[in-house]
Amino acid sequence: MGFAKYQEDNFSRYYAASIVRGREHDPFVGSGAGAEETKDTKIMQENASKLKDFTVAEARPLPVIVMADVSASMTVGGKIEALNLALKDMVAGFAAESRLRAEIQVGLITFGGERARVHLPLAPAHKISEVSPLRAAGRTPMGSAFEEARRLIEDKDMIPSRAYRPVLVLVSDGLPNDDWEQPLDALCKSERGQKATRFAMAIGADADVEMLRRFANDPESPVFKAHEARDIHRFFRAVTMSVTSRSRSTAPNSNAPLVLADIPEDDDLDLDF
Amino acid sequence: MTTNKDKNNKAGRHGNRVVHDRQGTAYELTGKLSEGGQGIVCQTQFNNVLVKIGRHPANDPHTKAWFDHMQWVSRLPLEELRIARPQTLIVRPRLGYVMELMDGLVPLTRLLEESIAAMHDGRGLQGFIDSGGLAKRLRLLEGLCSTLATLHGRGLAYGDLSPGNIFVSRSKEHAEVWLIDCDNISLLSREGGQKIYTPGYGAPEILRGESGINSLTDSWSVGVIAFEFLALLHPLKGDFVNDGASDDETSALMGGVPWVDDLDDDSNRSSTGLPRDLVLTKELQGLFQRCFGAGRVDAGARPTLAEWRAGFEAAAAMLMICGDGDGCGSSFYYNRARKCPFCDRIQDESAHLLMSHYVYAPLSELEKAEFGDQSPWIATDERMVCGRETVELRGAPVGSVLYAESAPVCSLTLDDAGLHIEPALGKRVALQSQRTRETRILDRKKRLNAEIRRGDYYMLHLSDSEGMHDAWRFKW
Repeated sequence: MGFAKYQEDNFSRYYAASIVRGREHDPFVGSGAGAEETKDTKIMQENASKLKDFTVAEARPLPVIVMADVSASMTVGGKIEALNLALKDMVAGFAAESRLRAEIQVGLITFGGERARVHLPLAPAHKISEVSPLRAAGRTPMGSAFEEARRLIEDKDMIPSRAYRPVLVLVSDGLPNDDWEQPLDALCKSERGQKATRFAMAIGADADVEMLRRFANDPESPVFKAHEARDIHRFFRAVTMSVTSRSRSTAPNSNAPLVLADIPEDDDLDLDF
Repeated sequence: MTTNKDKNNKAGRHGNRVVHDRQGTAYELTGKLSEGGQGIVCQTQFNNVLVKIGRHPANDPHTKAWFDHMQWVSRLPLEELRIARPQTLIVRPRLGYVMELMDGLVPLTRLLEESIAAMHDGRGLQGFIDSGGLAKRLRLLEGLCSTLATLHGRGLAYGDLSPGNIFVSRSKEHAEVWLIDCDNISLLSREGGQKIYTPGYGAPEILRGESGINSLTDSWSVGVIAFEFLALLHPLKGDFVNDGASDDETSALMGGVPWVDDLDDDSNRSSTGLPRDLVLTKELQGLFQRCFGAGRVDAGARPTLAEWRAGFEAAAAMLMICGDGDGCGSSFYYNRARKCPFCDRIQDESAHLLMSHYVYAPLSELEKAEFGDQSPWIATDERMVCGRETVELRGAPVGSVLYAESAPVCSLTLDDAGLHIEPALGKRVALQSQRTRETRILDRKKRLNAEIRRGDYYMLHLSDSEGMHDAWRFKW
């Protein structure tokens, strides 16, 4: 007679005249077993500790760091709202990705006012429950953002050496008004900065396209120029695609440039489920 | 994953989601099922009807090449294969095709992720067991290999195999396997042709740009998927690769680093994943050794899909189920102690029956007489375990390449009453007892009663003739 049979006997004797054959982990049978419960629990614990001896490898991190302009000019024409929406969709897109091969992580550095600040510390996308909306105000301290980004990507505690090469994204609608040249150089020439994939988007006519061009390093993905708010969304969708396509079917030696979908015509498909 | 709330939020602002096929039928795309390099597989308003739609607009050159190839694929002889093939082509607003797929299937990725997530969450092997354990895994792999073996037999290679385009039964009880994304199917080739692959699953020679897809590159992908599915470990991602820089991973996937269980080189051993003895039979370990050991450099050393299938079949035939109500319910490989490696429970002796395969060869002069006084027997290494589920004995033993195509001769069912031996319609088998030296011809169902089970040897001949035939030995 097995243990479950014994439990069943107890159970049928005390709780019901006829029973359906239960399993030992059936909570009804378990709670009805009285003193036997401890034995049951003990077996479960032994199992658990035995099973825990095995481990599986952690997925390799793939850091994506966004440097976003939140200077006062971003309030014009719904740009900041578009940026907020685009960032939210990007994080959701990353979170939905399979983590078998890579764990996509997102960090967000904003620059507006006196100096850059870390709006969202680098964290796995699937664990980011919410990106609090950015508010635009003040000047454009871009140099400070470059410094912040360089500090982050060179931090071996935040980004271990086994991580995939980071992706840096720079979004701006104006001219930097702090000392930016030296920090930009330092970022782009840093050990990890030079290996990173660097994408840039210029929003509107006032953006410093020349400076953004110095930042962007993917020859197939030149600086993207956004003319209206919805272009911001297109750019971030392209970034999302470029990052997630690394785990998808590909041809040998092909990298993943930024493929910007044409402005959708009215009868084209919306596949953004 | 999109939550319901998100869906509601988006419902108001989504654009066109209707596509049309050549005949003008409209399909409304209702959700995304999977996403590949070239296209997106969507559900439609019709049950079981899926649409794969190009990622880029119709005038994009990539889309053009893809669509041309797909039209070629739609004319291939893919009948009776578990491959969701193009039924009709979508022509506007983008290019794509319509395929049918049965309900209740999910990408294999889902089962893999669940098992791995459980390990990360401290639930140990519960995820592995909940996603069907060894029994379902082996049946799924057997089904996958069966489809691919037939495809190769028709001179075609599948190409871009990955856990994302293998669709399997969601429920524990079923083990259906269907391949989608058939648009990479190509003629077997060494050079040129299709070179598309999914990172982690493409054969090294494809990554190095040296080869197109063929049956050997498919074999590699099957090996990686199977090893990952069974051992929860990528065969090339040992500690050296996993802890090293990401650039080294690229060179490892191109075949530059030994695999985790390499016989001669231990530089890339893995401290993670499930112990191989727990999840692989010795025979399967041998197949993986050929695939990733010698086969890493020499593609010809890899097992064929028929060999893979036979290996998974043989492994599945050696499974026992833990417990009859009071065990952990896992399936595990037979061991002499009858001890479940997942929960250490010793199984009832009466619940299983181990059987060994012999060939009876009366005309040859063989020295080894294993059974009886004069009869010449050849002991093969094939064995199987008869448990609570009915077992089918066929003209060729399980584990041989011919098993899948062989006709059933007899079925065995073990229950509390005893062992039920039932010859297939029109077949006759013979049961020989070592103790009584009697041989009885059976042409209908016969039961060996549980009461007389005392450890005597029996031989079940899958024939009633004196000529050469197969037989299975067991103790009763």
